[in-house]
Amino acid sequence: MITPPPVNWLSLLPGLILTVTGLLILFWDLWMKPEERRLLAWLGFIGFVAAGIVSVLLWGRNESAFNGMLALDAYALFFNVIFCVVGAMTILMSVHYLETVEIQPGEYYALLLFATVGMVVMAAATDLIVIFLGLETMSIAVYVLAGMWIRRLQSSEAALKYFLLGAFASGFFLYGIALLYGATGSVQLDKIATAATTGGVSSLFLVGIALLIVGFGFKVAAAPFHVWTPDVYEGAPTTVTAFMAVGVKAAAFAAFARVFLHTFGSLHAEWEGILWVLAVLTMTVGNITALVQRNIKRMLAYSSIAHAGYLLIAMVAGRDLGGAALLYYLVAYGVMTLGAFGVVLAVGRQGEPNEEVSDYIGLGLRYPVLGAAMTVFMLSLTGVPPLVGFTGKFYIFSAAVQAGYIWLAVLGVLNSVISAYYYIRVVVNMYMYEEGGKTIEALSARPALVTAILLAAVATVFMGVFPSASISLAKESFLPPG
Amino acid sequence: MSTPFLLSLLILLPILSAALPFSRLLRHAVGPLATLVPAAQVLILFILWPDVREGGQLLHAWAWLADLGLHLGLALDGLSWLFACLIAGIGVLVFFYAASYLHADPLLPRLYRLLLLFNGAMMGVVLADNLILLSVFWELTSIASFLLIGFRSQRPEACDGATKALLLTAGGGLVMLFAILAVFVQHGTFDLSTLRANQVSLSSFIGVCFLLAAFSKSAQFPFHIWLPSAMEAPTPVSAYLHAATMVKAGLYLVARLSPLFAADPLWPAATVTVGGVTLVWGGVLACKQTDLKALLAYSTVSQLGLIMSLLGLRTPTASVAALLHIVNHAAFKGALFLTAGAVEHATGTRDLHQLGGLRAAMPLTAAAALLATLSMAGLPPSGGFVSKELFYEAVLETSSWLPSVAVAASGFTFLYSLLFFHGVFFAPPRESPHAHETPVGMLLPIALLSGCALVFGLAPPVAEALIAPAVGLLSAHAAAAHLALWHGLTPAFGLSLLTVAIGGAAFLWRDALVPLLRACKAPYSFDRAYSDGVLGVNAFAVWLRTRYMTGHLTDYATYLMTVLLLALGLPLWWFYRHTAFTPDVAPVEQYEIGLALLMAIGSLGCCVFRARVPLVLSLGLVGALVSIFFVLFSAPDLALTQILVESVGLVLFLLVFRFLSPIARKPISWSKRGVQVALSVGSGLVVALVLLAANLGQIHPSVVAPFYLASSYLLAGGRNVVNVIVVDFRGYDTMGEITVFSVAALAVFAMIKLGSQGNPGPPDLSTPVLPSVILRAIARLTLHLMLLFSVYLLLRGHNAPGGGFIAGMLTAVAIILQMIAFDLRTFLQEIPWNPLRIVMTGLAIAASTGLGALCFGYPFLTSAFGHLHLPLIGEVELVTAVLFDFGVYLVVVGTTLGIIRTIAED
Repeated sequence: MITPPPVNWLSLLPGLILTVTGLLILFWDLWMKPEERRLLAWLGFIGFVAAGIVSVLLWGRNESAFNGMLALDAYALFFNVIFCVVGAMTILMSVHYLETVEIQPGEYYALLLFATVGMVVMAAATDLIVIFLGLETMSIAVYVLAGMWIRRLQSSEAALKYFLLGAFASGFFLYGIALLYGATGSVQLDKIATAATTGGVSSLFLVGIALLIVGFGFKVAAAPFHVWTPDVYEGAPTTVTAFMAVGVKAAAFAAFARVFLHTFGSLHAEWEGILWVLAVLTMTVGNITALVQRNIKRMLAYSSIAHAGYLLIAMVAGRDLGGAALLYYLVAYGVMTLGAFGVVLAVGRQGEPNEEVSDYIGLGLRYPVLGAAMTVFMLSLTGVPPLVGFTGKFYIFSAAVQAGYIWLAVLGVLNSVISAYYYIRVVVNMYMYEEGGKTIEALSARPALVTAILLAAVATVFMGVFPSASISLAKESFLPPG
Repeated sequence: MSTPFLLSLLILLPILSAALPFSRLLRHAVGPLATLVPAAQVLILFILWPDVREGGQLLHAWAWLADLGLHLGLALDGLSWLFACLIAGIGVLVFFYAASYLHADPLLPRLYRLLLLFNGAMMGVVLADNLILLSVFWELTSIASFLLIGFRSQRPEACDGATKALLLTAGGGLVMLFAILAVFVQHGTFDLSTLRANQVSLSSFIGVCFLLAAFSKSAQFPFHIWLPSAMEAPTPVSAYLHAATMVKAGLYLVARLSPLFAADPLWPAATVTVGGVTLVWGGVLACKQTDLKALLAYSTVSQLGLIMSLLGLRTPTASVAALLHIVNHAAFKGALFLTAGAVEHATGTRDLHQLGGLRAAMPLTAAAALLATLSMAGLPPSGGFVSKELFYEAVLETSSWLPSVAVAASGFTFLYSLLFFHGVFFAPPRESPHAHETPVGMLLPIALLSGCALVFGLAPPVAEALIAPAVGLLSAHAAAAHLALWHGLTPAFGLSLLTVAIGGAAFLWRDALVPLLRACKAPYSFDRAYSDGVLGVNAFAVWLRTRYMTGHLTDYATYLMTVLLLALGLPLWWFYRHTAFTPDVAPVEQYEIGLALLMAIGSLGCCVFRARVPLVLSLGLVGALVSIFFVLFSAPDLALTQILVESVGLVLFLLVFRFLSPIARKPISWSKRGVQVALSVGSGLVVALVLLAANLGQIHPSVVAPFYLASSYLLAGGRNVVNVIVVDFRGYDTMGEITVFSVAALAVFAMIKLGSQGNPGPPDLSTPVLPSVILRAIARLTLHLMLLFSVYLLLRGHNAPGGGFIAGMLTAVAIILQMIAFDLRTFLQEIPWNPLRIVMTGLAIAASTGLGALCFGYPFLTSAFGHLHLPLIGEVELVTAVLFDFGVYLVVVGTTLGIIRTIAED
């Protein structure tokens, strides 16, 4: 028996809080009366908030834990806060929704928390194997979440597709880790970085990097590894879709950026070409295909693919500005996408999901607040000032320009313009037509959901008008590469 | 009020008022209320006039994304002031007009909302000092224009026209954004004022990008195609956006940036040429039109070309002429568009073939339109005459070909002006029973605009006051030029007479000339090119959706594999081609080739067979062969585990198959099958390449392996390092794993039970096939032998291949054999224990072993060991770890039994 080494419990604290809350929910659910189950949502909410607060309190630390496998640094904490906010918002949106689609709340909330634990691990990991652990913890929970809408056949299909293709991608990822180990003799990021700068780059190393790109590319839904996204986003319960579109993507980018901008920073020239192509492909395929979508969840799925493309531009731009732009845009993308999915939830009702874009006809005239919020989200996703989508995109594109990738920035802007077509179509539907719209369930019956939508809308406007605080936070959080 | 506040108010006022609840509370007052907004703008501009009159500039910037050079910078100088006056002044009239034009329309509030939005955006374009801000407002005007053109959204033509306008103008804006980024890269600022202060001169490339944006916005050839299609918009919109203001944004941009390209030869050349071509081409096309608004639209194209070429000339005269014509054109074209709207309002048509003789029914309108027409045709005493004279003067100062182009184009202008006025008011009257004089609400704006057109001619100082602050910004010496209606018998006046002669002659011969013009049709037009392009993109999107995003998992896996194989295979192949590399591999034995061939046959079987049993058997064959490879490469533990897992898995498969319906296979096309075969072969090859490449990596000395090898016996009393790691060194992990394993087993039990509730029962088993006697005999004989052997494996596991997991699997195999040989249910009833209980006991034993250590003051799971000689088995380490292993054993046996039992019970 080997005595366990000393553990830096502080570095685990946010994850531990989430895990314990998840377990508590599972146990409490066992002897809870069905009509009391809403309480579980609030327990989960408290868990997310507590973990978020702890992360904020830990701000300023810069420590390494578990023999260099986990880091407790600003980067990890920044992402922790993102994940906790996403989780808390998802819970707010789920309270009422779970009842309409008959999902068991106990498992649902617990899985949400466990998935977030995986994300927290991914953002903090400084070791490829630990990243993989986090990735799988998150993914497996999300595979299940995607299939929880048992009454909807597409939901099961979504879960199965996501799982099979995801397993595929995980295989590539592991293979990549193995090859990198073969090339450098370590799976720890700092040692790999040292090997990359001192020992030169073997073909084995490059093949390993390529495989990691495939693995990460799958999780962030970059073309051509995005193929699972539309089906999964459409089939999954809408709250889970929101969680995936924001949380999973942010987590994948957290690890992606730490590995590529930090560890492989000195090899920027070797991988920027691949990511350049991926970014352009991803934006273009996402936006062009979104043009012909009629289902709003599917449209938002393609939109999230396109946004992965913009985020990849930030990765290509690299260096300090690109990294900070990436972090900032993830926040921007998060609030506006969560809000948009919130509205999609609000428009649906029991047995009638109302997911077609045509279902939004006249919505803005009959529900002014909801319509205004959706308008804010759609315009922000397009990148219209002074909303956060604009400041975020501006930040990314100017990072690209300053790093010398003018064409990439231009293609990004071109894509934003294409995207205006399908985002603004929703707004046009909401305000320009009156007949044939759907009536929706009273919003007053769903205070939590409305709170979430309004919070997202306020954040979208506020961070766009006053961007400097969040930008400097993003800058502070991003590790200078190399 | 401070001037920065007033500046921002010019933009914010309309945008914020667009959000007023017009459609609910203010439904009936929407027209007057909205008109107040441009009126207030006029007032503000009047207040600010002293600041800009003497060539001054108001500048204010609010910080936004300061570290990225993005300020909300607004600037007002003479040029901005002139354009702002147009936007606000014509805004007042158009807003006023629209209330009567659409007075009963329920969509009126929306029209005003959009007009206000446009007004704010357009103000933003002319006031922005920061180029990014400029580009944002630029695109906003395009969006507002898009929504206004598509106002009648139930008409497909309106939607198409809106889209066309948006694509071309917003696309141009994008090119401009690119130019702006290039400016930032080269000069480090987005601020126009800074660029001007530094007297920067920008490159031709940036200039071309800016010009493309300006040309597309101002409908210059060949981007002019969007303007006629934009006539689907309600007429006030056409008058406001597509004649007076938005289409002038391109002119504004050219005028604004001209000083920054002072040294660039391409800028004036391109501007003059494109402007000249547009001037003529627009005039020709205008004469062909039968629709009033289309005629006016092409006329606008032509006039914009005129101003564009004047801006390109950059002489003092040309600058004055350009600015004056901007004002004149806004007045007369605005008036004529509003007249066209009034005519349509009165008669229900805009077709020249169906109009005529309206002077009787609408005398006041006709009078007003006459003034505007004079101005458009460039006849005295209108403002148009003054600017046309200046235009001739300017072109006479320059190259040789321009004057002739100018005269020809003006001839066309004269012709279409007459065609318009004559066709509507004088031609033989047609039946238009409801024709009536224009209501006051609409007549007043027309009269005012026409009045302006007249005043600018009769009293040039009025126009001069408007343009004077701007002239100084365009060219240093132009301020001296004084405007007058009568310049004397100058060469320019001669050209004017010539124009009237040509145009008049053409009008007299119109019955021959116009049909001739209409008969000329280009085989392929820019319009066609545009629609082909749009259809192409759409077809591409549909293709992507239906052919690429098929929703079939196999297709998606195919893409992933293809990309992966290319990404890995190509570099590796390249690498092997270009390096002398001999992989350091062990010699291949013949029996290894045989085994590999067998494996290939097994894998092929998996692809070929259609029924489940042979499929599973081929899969089993592959698994068994893999375990043989484990043996060959000295991994007995792995081999044992693999072979047992294969056996148990096979049996479980066979048990489950009873419940499944036959495999339904869709026919696969040969092309798809070909791709799949290629991919499969490719994967094999690439994996082989990767494995060979792995051979390149140096062998990294392991940190942990030597430790385990050295201390396995010393610390844990076992020689089988694998087993020692599992039950001792990494005992925590194993404890966790068997717990997870047990929970998974529980889940499997539950799922099988739940799943069978709704399903029809298993196939009829009432006539069981009796297994062979030989099998039963063997089974009974081997049961005890196998159980004994499994105990042996369990006990010796610490030192030699074996251990709890393997022993557990073997026991399970023994039991399964009995099940196959004998009747399933009777056999299960013979087992006295509940499988779940076995699992739990196993877990409890494993946990208590660990806890036992705690009792003696050691950490959890510390093992103790001693040695004991047993007969036959030999020396046995009495290690507490063996007890732990026994727990593992029980968990495995219990789980397997449990799964089989639940399946069988169904």
